[in-house]
Amino acid sequence: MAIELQMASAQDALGSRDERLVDLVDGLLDHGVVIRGELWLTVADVDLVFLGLDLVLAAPDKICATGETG
Amino acid sequence: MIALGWTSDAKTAPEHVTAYPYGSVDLLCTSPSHAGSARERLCLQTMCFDAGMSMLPIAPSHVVSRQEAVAIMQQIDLMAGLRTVQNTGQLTLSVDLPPRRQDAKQGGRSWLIARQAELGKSRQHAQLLRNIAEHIALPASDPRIKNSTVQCDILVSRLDTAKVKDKIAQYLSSLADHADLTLLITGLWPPFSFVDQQLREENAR
Repeated sequence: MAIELQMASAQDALGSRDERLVDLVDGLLDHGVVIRGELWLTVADVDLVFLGLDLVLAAPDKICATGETG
Repeated sequence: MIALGWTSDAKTAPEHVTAYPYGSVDLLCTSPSHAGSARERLCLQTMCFDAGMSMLPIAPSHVVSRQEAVAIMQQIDLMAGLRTVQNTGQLTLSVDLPPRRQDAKQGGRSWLIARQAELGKSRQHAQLLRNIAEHIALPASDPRIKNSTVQCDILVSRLDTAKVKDKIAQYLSSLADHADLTLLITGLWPPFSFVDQQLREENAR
């Protein structure tokens, strides 16, 4: 028996209460650009200071505890 | 303002979203009252994407202010990242694992055997997703186990979406040894799992 194939658009998935689609949407929430490390913003005339911004374009599951991207 | 992501081809922004131009990149923002939850941010990002914008989306679970997003733009060459996801989105493929048996009388040994079988299944499903990605020869994320499913994402050109879905369907119909298995394809989504595609391509070179 071949594998059954189901499809859903992003809008269908977002609007669905089907547990499977809800889980799937939840699984997307942690993916995308993240800021790892600290980012300090100052007000007044002092320049901004950043740490760890070189990792900003790494997806979370690609960031190791050491801060290396794999 | 809450930042949702960056785009290089801002179209008419959907309701509740404002595009702030910074040179060749636009920062997409919304007010905190419309982006209180990660799901609300995901909905707005998907609306921007559906409006035709190529996006580097911020992870919906992360709240990034407009000031922080502007500061990032001053530190990182976002255009290079945007070029790699130009006119693309992701299809998310998902296969369910069999439901876990809850047996109060289950002993330690049988529990271990059941867990081992479960692990074997999840590896099998992950391999199936890898095989699909290999067959369609497109960039794919590593399969991940999320709750009771195995998922992976594939980076697809907007124009090729239907073709890729057909190709996956054809591939699946050629497999005969996966009874009782359902593959769910959702999307297109903004390319959440490929915001580091530029780094991956550089590493591959």
